[in-house]
Amino acid sequence: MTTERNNFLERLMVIFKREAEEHLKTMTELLQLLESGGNGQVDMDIVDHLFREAHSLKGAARSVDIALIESVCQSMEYALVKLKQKEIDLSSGFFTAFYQVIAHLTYEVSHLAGERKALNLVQLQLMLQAL
Amino acid sequence: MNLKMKNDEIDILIVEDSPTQAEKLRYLIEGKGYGVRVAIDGAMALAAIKERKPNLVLSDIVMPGMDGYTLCRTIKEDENWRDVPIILVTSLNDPKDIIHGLECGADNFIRKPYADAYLLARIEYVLMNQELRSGKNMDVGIVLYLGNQKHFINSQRQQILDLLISTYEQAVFVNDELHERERQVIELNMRLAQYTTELEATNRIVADKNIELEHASRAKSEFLANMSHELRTPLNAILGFSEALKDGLVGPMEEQQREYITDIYESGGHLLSLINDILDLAKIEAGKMELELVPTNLKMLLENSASLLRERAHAHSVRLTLSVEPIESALVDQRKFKQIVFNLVSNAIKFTPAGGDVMIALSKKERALDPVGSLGDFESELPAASGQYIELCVTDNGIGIEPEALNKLFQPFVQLDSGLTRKYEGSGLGLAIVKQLVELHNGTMEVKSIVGSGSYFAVSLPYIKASSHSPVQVLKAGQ
Repeated sequence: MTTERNNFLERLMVIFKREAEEHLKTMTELLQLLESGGNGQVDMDIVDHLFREAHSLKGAARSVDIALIESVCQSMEYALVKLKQKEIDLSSGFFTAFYQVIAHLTYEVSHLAGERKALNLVQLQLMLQAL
Repeated sequence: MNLKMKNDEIDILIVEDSPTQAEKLRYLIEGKGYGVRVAIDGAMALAAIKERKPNLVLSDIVMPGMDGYTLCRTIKEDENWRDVPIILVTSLNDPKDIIHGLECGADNFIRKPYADAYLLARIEYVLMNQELRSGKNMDVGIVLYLGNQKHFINSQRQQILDLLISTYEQAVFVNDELHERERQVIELNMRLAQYTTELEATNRIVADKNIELEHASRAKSEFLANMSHELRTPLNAILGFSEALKDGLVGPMEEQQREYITDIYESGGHLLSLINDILDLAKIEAGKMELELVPTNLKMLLENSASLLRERAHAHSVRLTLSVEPIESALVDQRKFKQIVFNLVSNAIKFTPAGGDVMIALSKKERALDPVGSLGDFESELPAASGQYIELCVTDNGIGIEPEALNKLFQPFVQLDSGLTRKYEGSGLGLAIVKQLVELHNGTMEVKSIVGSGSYFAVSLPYIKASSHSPVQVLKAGQ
């Protein structure tokens, strides 16, 4: 691999970290909005927005070859589609899964520097798939 | 398209809201020598086109504000911009993606995720064939129904063909992925089968070990039973001859001689009772103990047993009182019933200081549900047929038992406080035997105790009414 390409990948990783943090922060805020909405009605605009954030993060993770974050985001998308199609409710299980996933992703993203360690997110993914 | 154009003269507009993906695309496309501009949403893209008409637009679909389809339609609806080729990057997951793509007039499609080389080849292909799609496309329209919705498509053949190829490529790719997943599932199933086999083997080993353990336990009990029997034979000689000497049957003895021989006789008696206890426990554990049920007057049986115990109570200066309800004749194993009474009462006497009281009460009761304070550990099921049971209660106002010690109470060879062992003689088997005998009867036991105030032991045995012609019934343990 050329130095030039290495430099590019390093720069790309810095951009990814910043972008991922932004998405995760926005997603947390959206979840809180969704949670405070109450009265059983699901605000579909918020769900759409959440979906877009997960979708963008997925694409960004793919750009830097982090397959696990990518597939966790894919699972989040699936869960959100189920929510949109009213196959699932905004249960406490939903929020637990999403908050935990976001907390773990945030942790992993903040530790991305240098060597890329295997992300232990498989269990969290299963949690999302079980929704 | 002007084929003489150099790559660096070609301006490609990337529309992508994710900075990471935009940067990756820019790096990739700039690597081919093209000029690149990046817009992060539809509105910015339109502003960029207004500023300078690009040679190609490469747009994401899911974006905040204006999405890729709307952007594409807006560009295609503008006379001046219509000839700018647009490639949409879509995941093509939904048939509607294809329709939306056609409806908005996109020129080509790149399926996500894409390989770098594929993306570049697509861009090159679209730039090369730009002439084909210039001008006269929006003329022929097709009406299409999908998912109960009417769609109007006015794409030209080239567009439709491109989309068709993209879709087919997608299908092939997904099919490959599916094969890969299938292979993984087969592999996982094989591994699962292997684990299952290993687990079964382990279970078999555990089962074998359990059988071995049971055999060993039985062998131990049989050995104990036989040994105890062998020990009793010489002991009977010791007891018999020392008693004869003590009673002067062999001739007069001096005071000291009599004292010594009395010691020998009494120690022998104690040893015999220990051996009897061990023998009983071993017999029960070996499954050799049988119940011999005979019609019995319980009141008489209890008074009979009490007369032996009164002597012992008197020796300890403990008052023994008896309260017996009249009970019709019942089927009882007399020897074992007596042993239960004897063990419980002699224990009570032993652990009650001089001047104390021990009370025995016997009554017949209706089956109560879940007696309060019973120890679940050794509660066995009473036969459901009869709702009646015989209750034997032994109450004392002796030293009592610590709550933590209650669980250990019925384990063989345990006298609760090792300090007590010196003060109160005994094998530590008495209560273990009572427990086993009660279980043999399918009965239950209950204990309550307050340290310093005394203890309460209650034994409940199923009441089996003796009919006038009841024969002796023999039940083997565990039946």
